[in-house]
Amino acid sequence: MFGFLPLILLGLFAAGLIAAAVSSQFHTVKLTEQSWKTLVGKLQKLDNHALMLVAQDFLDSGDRPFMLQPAEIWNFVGGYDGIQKMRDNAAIMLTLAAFIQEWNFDAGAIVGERMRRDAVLLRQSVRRLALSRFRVTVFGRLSPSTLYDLQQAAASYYVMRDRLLSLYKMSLSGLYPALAEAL
Amino acid sequence: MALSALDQLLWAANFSCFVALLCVLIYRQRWKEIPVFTTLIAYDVAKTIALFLAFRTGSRHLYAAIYWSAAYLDFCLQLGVVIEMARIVLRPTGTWVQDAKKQFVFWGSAGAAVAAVLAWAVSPPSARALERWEMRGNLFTVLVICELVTVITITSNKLGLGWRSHVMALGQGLAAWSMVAVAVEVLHSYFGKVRAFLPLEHVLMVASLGTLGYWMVRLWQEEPVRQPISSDLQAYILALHRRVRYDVRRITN
Repeated sequence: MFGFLPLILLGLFAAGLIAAAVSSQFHTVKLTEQSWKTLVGKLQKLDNHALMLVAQDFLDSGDRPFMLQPAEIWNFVGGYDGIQKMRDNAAIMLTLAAFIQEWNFDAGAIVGERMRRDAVLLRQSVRRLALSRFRVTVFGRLSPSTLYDLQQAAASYYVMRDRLLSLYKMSLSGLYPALAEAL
Repeated sequence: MALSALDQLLWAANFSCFVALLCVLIYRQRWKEIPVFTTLIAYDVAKTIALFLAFRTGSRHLYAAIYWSAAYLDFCLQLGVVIEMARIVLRPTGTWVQDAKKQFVFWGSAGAAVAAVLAWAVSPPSARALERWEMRGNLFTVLVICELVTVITITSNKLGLGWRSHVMALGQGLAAWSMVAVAVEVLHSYFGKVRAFLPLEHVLMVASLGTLGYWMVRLWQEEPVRQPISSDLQAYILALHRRVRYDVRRITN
């Protein structure tokens, strides 16, 4: 039995590696073949004005306290439903930024890089918010750290959206109206 | 040493495909985009000629000497091709995309370590130690190449990076070939050179033919033309970078 153990482990590792290789290649081809319209069609509507208020209150606060109350921030973001939508939209926005590379490789790559950094902050906030969901649902209270994560998520999303729209306005102005409408 | 008609046919077909691919790379000037890959193909052409001439002399020692000295350089060049792919995909603007280098190095090293341990641990059935180490070496090589190509693909998908079509073709071909090679070498580790060795080698050679053919077609085709960045857009992007640094500092402080 133990004589076969290395072979069994090798077989499992190789099977996992082949599965990961096949899956990643399919995913890459799927991303490349998705039409722009399909991707934009997948964007979910959010209350951008409300998100902008949360983002600007967070980004422009400086030394002064935040003007929005916790309940207002929660409602403006749209609760956990809104957080999920922001996360899903962020992934699609990154792919839409990569699209620009076909027409303007340097601009698309540079702005895409900036958006990726925003997406990292957004994902970190969403992860922490998911961990605090039980506490928020059961006790109905938003701790300071949860509030901070909500604001950071909204600010990161707002910055990403703004960057993407500006990129399309400069590089592919023909598609800008449709994207602005969808976002 | 006697080769069957099938062996000779596959060997000749592989050599012809290597030569044809090299011609495509030179004629269509793809060697400027992927110089290390072009070097690998040129090396494979030269290696095949050398091995064939050694085979015709009938000297096992000469054949073995060329085979073993070529194997090490072959692996280094394959590794070079993978690194070349990583540099093109994960460094679109000339610098590594955030987290890309860290992920590539971490997962690449972890995978190579696991491959080394597994290759060392298995004991392919063979009376000769040199044959066992040859099979372990081949197994390690294909595991590392397959794993590195997968790491590059997964990293680029997670970071939302686009692939240029020629590099994508390179990655897809290398991924497909290495998956078949992993399966073949795992079976070699079980059967050794006693059973099913030649049929498995034929499978690998057919996979190699398919990959070479795919590369010939894809690398012959042109990529979409990229527009140069205008000075207005460049100024806008620089201003955007300054604003981004300010925003990120505000968010993280």
